[in-house]
Amino acid sequence: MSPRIWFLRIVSILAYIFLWAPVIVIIVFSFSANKFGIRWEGFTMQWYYKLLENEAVWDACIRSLVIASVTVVVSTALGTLTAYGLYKLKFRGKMLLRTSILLPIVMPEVVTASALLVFFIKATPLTLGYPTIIIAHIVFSTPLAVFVILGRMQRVDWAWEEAAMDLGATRIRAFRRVIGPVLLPGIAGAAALIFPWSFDDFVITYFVAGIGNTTLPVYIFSQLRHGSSPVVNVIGTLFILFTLASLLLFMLVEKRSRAKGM
Amino acid sequence: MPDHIKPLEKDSKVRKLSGEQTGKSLVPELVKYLGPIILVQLVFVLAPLAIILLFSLLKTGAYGKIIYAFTLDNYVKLIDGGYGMVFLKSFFYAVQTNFMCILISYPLAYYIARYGKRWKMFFIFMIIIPSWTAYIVRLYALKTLVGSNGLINSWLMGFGLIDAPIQFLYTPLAVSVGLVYTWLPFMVLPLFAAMEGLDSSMWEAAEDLGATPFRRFVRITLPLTRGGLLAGTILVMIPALGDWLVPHLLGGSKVMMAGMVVAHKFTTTGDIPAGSCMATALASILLLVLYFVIKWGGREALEQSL
Amino acid sequence: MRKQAMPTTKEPVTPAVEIKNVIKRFGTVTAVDNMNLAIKQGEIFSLLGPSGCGKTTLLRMVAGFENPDHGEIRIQNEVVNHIPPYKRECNLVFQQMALFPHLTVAENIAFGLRERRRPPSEIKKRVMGMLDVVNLPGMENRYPHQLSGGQKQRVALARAIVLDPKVLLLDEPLAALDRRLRKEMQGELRRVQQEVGITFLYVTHDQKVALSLSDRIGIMYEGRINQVGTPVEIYETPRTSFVAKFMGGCNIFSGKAISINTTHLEVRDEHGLCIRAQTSKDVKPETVSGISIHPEMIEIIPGDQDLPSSDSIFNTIPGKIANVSYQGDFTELQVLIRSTGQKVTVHLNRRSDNSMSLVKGQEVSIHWDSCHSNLLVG
Repeated sequence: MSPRIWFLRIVSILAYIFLWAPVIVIIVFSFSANKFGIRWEGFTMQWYYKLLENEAVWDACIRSLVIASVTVVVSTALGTLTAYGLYKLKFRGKMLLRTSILLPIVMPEVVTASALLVFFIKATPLTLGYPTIIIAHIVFSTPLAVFVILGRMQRVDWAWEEAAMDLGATRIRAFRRVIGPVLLPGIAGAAALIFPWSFDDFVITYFVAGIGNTTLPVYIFSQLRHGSSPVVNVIGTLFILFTLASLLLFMLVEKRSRAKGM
Repeated sequence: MPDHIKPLEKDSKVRKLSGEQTGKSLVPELVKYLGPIILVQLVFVLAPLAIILLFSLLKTGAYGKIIYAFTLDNYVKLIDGGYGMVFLKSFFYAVQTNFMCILISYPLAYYIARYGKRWKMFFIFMIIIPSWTAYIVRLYALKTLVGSNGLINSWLMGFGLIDAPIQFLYTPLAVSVGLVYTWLPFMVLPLFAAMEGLDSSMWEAAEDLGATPFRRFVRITLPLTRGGLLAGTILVMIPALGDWLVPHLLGGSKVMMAGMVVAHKFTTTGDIPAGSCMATALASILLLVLYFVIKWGGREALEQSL
Repeated sequence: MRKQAMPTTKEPVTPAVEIKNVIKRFGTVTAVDNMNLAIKQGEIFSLLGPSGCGKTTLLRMVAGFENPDHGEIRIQNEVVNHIPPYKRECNLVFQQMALFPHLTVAENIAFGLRERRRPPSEIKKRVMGMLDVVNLPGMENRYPHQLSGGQKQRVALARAIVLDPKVLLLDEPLAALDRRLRKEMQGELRRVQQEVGITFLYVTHDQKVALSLSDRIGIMYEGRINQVGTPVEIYETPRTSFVAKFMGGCNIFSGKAISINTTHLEVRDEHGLCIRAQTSKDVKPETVSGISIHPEMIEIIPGDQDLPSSDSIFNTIPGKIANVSYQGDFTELQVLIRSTGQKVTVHLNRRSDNSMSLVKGQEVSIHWDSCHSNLLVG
């Protein structure tokens, strides 16, 4: 049995190295004094300081934050509503609806991006910019919210809702006072996943952003023409840390709600 | 669903409360909860897809003006102009990526599921983090590692193992590796989820009854993880087919894939009908692949993976 | 199916399973501590003990899922220590049954046969035969999720037996079933074993199952064997105080023993009570650690009756009834021994003269023949 476990272990270790090596490299290099950010030349924080002064980066960052925040709020609200409807109601075509909700996540980004682009320019009076970006983000984030919250709903004991309604609450009030709080961890979890997902998005944003509306990922892309750069290393590192934080938050929320027996 | 939590369909009195009825009274409920999402789907998902289908049938005239006359020109150009090959190659890249992901994911998922014990969640977490990090950052990181000025090359040269940097980038190999790098976690996670549901005593029973490790894999693991395999395939093949950034950043102009072509038409040449045509063609291929994958996998596998 | 003739002569027969000086440690915990055991061909041998005593570990070592740190395990005199499970000639019936959900009953049973590349005609014949043996005719195309607990257990059994193993290992297979089903399945197991004659090594923590099912029982505690014997031996003459307590119900008096004469000795317990027991030449008084007596072997003599003369073959101790509990088929009494404060449990069945008239607080004497006193060592 031993040689087989060793085989599994080696493949696993190699897989982890494969996934993490590039990431670790840029984290390390973000501290390197090398001007091109491709070699180790001594520890320095200068690039981090430089970043703070970089106006373009700040602009892009704030834009990304705004978009992500709006997206999170709308997606989770829409997602909760939808999950509730999908869970409780039985009707023909349910499978169809579920599949079509899945579509935006499964389709490669270029397809949804192109479709939305043409739609926005040719079928709506909107100009490319914040509104179009936000709408696009909501389109691909809501499905994620729906499925995370749907998953949570399966763990909720709906007898509580029944009890609340029996005690006189309307469905909405029952939701607000009883089910809502129980679902809150699920909603928070969805938010924790959607925020980085929206913040990080490149392809769709690139297509529908129009001129001058640079988000942080788009900024990175534009910098890539110049090859590696320490500033990009820094931004990359911050992205990684940011994702890590969001995922930790998600896991924490999950753990706590599980401990409470929900 | 845990046994003690039952859906409310069973009790008819409760069914009234939960709104689970068929017939006219169902409609207002439907509208209230699912109305918004249906609206969003119609306006922002289905309508745009319809529109690019529409535009793919139009033509671009002089100075980039669009001629509103139906024509199949674009599609003809698609096949004639060598784009057909690009789409075909993209398909093969996607299949190759899928296969490589399966090859790596099975041992990994099996190891974590069966031998992970208390560290399972940690191991999974360590897979999710790189995958959830911005796609573009990951590819940038990969480039830093393998570029001509990158870490690997400078080390190899530094140790005197090679004289000139090995050209990793801008080769088909780079694109293949990049695709696997990007999409691997999306195969590992569903497979892991499928394996988690299996009791380890099942493998022990198979072993006890005389099955060698390979036979155990074929007769027990494979059939019982079909759902995970299906979900993984959908999550890997479909995006890989239409991937833009990997071939663009790692393949340059040397390696063309379908996603690149679409992007190119829109961002560089601004040719909406042509781009729409590419996008529609790509979408159709994807839907076809999706259809066949689901057909092969079976309906219950689909239910399982959702 | 192969029928095994039980050896009727006294010539030495190879044991089906031999465990020699086996030690198994997990970190700092010694799960199996220098165990020696020989299991006879064709018998049902139960390893009985509380959770954590190491019995499951031992079973898994015989099956091949764990390897002993020290010692030998032999199956039919062949050392199997480093042979993987799929090459050993023994099969395991799992506690959770572990049926393959994606295969039908017939395919489950046929699993091992297919691995051995047996021809389909043979497989079919053997599978059908097996279904008859375990009493599940017509179920061949059902799936595990369509079966009841008892049916699943029978399929698990069939799946293992069809391979004609030299030893069948059973890991508490009845634990997951409810009480009624358990009794039914016990009967089934015994019947099947007699029909196919395979040696059974059965691991359980349930004394009742072990007593009713086994030819021999081995009591395990903390990685060691305390006693091996037939159910009668184990129940009526437990050798150690652990076995006596584990099999339930015994009254135990611990203390040192002194010889009275060649046939009897006396044990004086920590409260000063003297209990007499019959002994034999082989027993050394210094090895005795106490005496046990089963509640049903004790008589009650009401206080107003004459006591038999005090002679060395009876034990008569005065006391007071502290509690009376009617259990239907027997009445349980707790008698308080005034001189020492101990409570002795007595079971009177319905045929006993006194059972109806005894009341709490009544003065009585407990009385039994010293030949029923059971000597405990260690």
